[in-house]
Amino acid sequence: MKTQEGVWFGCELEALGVDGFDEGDDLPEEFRQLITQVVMVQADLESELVFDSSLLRHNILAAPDPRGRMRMAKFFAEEVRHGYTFWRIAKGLGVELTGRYFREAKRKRQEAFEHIGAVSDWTELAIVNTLTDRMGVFVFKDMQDCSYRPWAQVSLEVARDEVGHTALGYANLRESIEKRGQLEAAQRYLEKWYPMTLDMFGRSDSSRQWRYVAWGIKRSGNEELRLRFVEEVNPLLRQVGLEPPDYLFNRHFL
Amino acid sequence: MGTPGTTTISWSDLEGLVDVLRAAHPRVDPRALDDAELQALVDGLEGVETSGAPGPGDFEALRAMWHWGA
Repeated sequence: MKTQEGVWFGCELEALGVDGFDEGDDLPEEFRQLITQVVMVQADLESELVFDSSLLRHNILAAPDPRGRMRMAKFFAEEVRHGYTFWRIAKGLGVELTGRYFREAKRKRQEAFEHIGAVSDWTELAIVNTLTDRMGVFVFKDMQDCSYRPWAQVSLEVARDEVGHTALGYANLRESIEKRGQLEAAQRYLEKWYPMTLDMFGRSDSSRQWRYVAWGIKRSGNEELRLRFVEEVNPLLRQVGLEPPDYLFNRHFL
Repeated sequence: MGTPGTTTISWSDLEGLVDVLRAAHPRVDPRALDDAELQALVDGLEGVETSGAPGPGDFEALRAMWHWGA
């Protein structure tokens, strides 16, 4: 596993003689900022579902048949549960997320999050789930032994849910291409979402990524996770006749 | 041609394969299994032979159909 020289998983904790923190502990300031950032990135998308159900309705009704709508309703039941979980953990860190926050706050969001709300085409939604939910699998598995114990306790379960979500996205994508003739549209959506998904892993040269490792919050650097993602997802895309864009195509955060 | 006393299911008949897997392993969560582990379950099905060579997308689609239901 590649890390910055002199940094290893949890080295800051070792220096303090602790192996992790619980809710309510007196957190070191840098740790508090980093774990809050992790929670807020996830809450920014999924906790909004606890306050605004329009995305649920929008995406469930995008399914072309009753089976697809049933599956999407089950899918969103899990996403809402994640949203509540992240809301609860944010509250434990002293951040009270409200409906007003999601409606009005001028906050920095990942580019992909801004686009997800506008997705209404079933094939595009299948691409989004194939890519971004798989990204979630990698991110959450990487934090299953996170030093903030409330986060570690939910990471593996969330990762497993995301495995189901990305598999559903892929099954829907395959059906769209093989039974509805949507190969061309799928390739177009892939070229839109593939670079955004790669960007979601974060910059390769970010200095902050090693602070997450040092505090035992994450195990891997951004580029390592991104490369593992590409290695896994590209063969899946090629099997349904899609051509993954170049690794650097239309990327904004290298 | 299959062995006498066995049923042959093609990897292109994922719904058929999922039905058999569900019946044989009602407590298994397919989301917890990687492709090799899914293949091992398929290989271990009693009285069932599979035809065809699955690719990574077949395992992914199998995982989805098993988990999310028909």
